[in-house]
Amino acid sequence: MQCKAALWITGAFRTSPSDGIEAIAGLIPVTLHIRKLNGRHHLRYGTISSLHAINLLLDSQHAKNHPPHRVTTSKLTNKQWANLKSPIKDVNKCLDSIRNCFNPTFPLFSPGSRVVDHFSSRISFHSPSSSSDEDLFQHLQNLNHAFRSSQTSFFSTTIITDGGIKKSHVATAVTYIWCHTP
Amino acid sequence: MKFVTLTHLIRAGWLKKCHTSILAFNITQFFPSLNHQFLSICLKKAGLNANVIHFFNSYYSNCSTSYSWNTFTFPSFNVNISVDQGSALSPILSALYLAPIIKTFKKRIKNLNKEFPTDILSFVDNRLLISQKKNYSLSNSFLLCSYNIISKILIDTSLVMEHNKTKLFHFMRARHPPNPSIDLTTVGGSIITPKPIWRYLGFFFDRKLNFYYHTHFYATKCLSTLSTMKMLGNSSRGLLPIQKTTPI
Repeated sequence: MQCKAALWITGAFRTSPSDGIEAIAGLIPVTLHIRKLNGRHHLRYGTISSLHAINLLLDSQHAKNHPPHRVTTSKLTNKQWANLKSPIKDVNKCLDSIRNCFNPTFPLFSPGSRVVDHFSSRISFHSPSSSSDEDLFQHLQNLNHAFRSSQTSFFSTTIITDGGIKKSHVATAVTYIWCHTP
Repeated sequence: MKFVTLTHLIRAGWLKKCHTSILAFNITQFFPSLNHQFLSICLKKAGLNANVIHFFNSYYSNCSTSYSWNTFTFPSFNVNISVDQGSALSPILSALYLAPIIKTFKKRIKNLNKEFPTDILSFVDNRLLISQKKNYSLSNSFLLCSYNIISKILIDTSLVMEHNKTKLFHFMRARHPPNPSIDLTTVGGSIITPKPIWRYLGFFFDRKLNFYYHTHFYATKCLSTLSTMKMLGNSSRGLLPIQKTTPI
């Protein structure tokens, strides 16, 4: 059906390749279009009012203090949950992946106002020079040394971050903050 | 989202080995029938600011209307009902008007039986009574009871049900499921026989939630639109390609 539409839009010959003329006509494949709309629909549940009736059917952590309905997903057995084919099931999964957001245009995030701009002399960065094993080993030793020295001095803070996490579906980076106060 | 709620209720009910029966009914002339006095009480109960309540009391006090037919205009007369058709405020006011009705309904069915398996879903003037039971006759009797209760509450709040538009539908996964009708003659309606397809909010529901009829209907509609729009232009004249992409 989409090919028919693309032929009509472009005015191409009827034997023209479907994918090519769909791309020229600016139509995305129907499956991807449906996936896009479905994803948007799931995300919409994160913004609905706390008084909306659909909250009754969501899991307790997303229900916004509403009492659970008798057919809510939390009241189903594991077997029933596995056999359930409902959009609410996908919505619950999608809402689990939504985290708190921050305002990227907040005044304190603008260049010149950040902590690193005000106290650049008091902050030191330790980044690996390359990903080769030798450099990483050297980098690890440097980090251990820096961490030990920060533990001995008062009023120092150590922040360790790793943005290379690929396997987890929930987190893409991890940060550990160590504050040493008397 | 109402569609999602309904689908979830039906599917989760099936997993609990209950079938779902739905009674859909309408309210006659919903917006023009809202009583101003009752609306004022509803706004107060909703906990709105005194200034807002005062504004609406003043807005809907001393309303008058008149009918005109060609050049002849009837003399105006005072009315204490109706909110404006097409106004952005009307759906919100109507929702506030309905909130105490639904609350009273739920309270009454809870007094009858704590485990009364009937839900009510409301979308402007469209209501659904949903009953989930293993037995058809039990389900129908619960629906009849709920229908009776809600019609009485609506009459108390100066609203009238449109009995001839009431529809019944049973959702069942079995291969040859029975399709029993419901007798609403005792509560002012008629005997309603369910049909194999139910159209609601633009969706065509079938008894097994397959949506075959729905997809077939909209695919045919799309194809007929395409074949019709061919006549409106091609790549050299008529509609531009960007204009053609929009209806698809």
